[in-house]
Amino acid sequence: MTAPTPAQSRLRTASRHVSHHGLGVLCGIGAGVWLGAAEAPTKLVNAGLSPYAISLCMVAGVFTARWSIPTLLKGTRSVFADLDRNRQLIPFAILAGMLWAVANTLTVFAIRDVGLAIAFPLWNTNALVGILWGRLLFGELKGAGAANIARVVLGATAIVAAAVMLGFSTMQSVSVHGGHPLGGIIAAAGASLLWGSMYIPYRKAYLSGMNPLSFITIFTIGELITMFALVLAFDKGTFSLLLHSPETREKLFWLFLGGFVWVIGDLFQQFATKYLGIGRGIPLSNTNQLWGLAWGALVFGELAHADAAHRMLVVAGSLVMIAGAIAVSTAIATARESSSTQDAMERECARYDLERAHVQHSMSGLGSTGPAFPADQGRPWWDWLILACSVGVFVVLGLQARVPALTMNFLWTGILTLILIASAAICAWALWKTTRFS
Amino acid sequence: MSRENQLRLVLTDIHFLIPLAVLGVGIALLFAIH
Repeated sequence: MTAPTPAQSRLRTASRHVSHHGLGVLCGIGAGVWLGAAEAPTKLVNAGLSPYAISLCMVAGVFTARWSIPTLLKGTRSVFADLDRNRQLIPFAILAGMLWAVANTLTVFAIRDVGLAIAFPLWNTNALVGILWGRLLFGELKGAGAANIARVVLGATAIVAAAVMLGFSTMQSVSVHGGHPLGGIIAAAGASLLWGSMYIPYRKAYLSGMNPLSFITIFTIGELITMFALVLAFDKGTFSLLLHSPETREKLFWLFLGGFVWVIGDLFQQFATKYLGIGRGIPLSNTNQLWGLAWGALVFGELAHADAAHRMLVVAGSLVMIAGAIAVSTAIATARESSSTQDAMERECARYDLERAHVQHSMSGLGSTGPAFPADQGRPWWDWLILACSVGVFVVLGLQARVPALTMNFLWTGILTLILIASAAICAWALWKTTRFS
Repeated sequence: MSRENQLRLVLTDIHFLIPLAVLGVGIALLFAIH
């Protein structure tokens, strides 16, 4: 067999890069579909629980899913081997989880004080924060042509603008909120800053060769501990209704289900960040608002009484969001921009004394190197135990769940569920075929 | 690389310090708004 010529190597690298771009775009869109759908089960939980309690229950569901999905796909041996190789990233993952939990709580205040229509677009500007950090800290878009920069920046801005339009389309009337509008706006802006900065640890982990599936198992520990601390600090401490009310059990299944759906979306978001970078990954995942609105309007009839102006706003907002997503998707990084990514990777290798060959291999989506990939040794018994416990939790909660009396369109529920399953199947197949989930 | 050295590198890494500072801002905001 003859060695490839430099021209053939360059061609191969370029074609791998384009295929990774396509994979990242697919995952970003898949993330939007699943993150948007995560709102649906929580709509089945009516009043009675505080926002903190709802968040904590969802995070508990998230925790269950974040341990079972990586166990199912890669096995705990592989996950722990990856964590052991990248011990320096464990504080980063915990910090990212803490950022998520605090940001999520800030959104609760923002919604209380200014309403979802104003708060959602505000915290959706996290995409712009992400672009800034991506450029400053990881050299994203460095060396990119003017056309690519314009596509990413204008595309992300269009998605934020569309979020504003869709947000206002759901506002049926001017309602009076908590009476602290400035506090609400500051809370939403804070959530945007936190959620935009949360991607710094994400990106760092993937530039160091860590697998997204390993990262999320540690991320969720920071998330759960912080959420629990916030319930204790802000939600009447150990007197919180969540910890005592028997009614909570009937609602737990829906919140756990919301958390589970959210994890799948977040997982695709992690792969989008790995293969596209922050600047392109976040705006694509932020299309989740479109899907959240689709579930709200088509399944729960939330726009049934909307007038023509509101409906026009929905159509226009959706089109602008799709146009923004297309603009970001078509901004394929050039060789010069890719070399900036390489520089960022080199920085991590030099600082933490990482094995370059392994990091390069992992960044290319080729999985782990080494003579004995842990997953090849077969699954240990505790993998099955983790999976059985996760399934058990959902079965037990499902048996206790009560379906609330809510008008739902079952045809649209079926159609959107089919889209959900199809998008996950396509993304999972592409990830498996191209990278074996690495 | 020793664990102490690794921890020192993490705690002085700009990629750690910026999110940590942002987390501090977030927690301060929570206390101010609550």
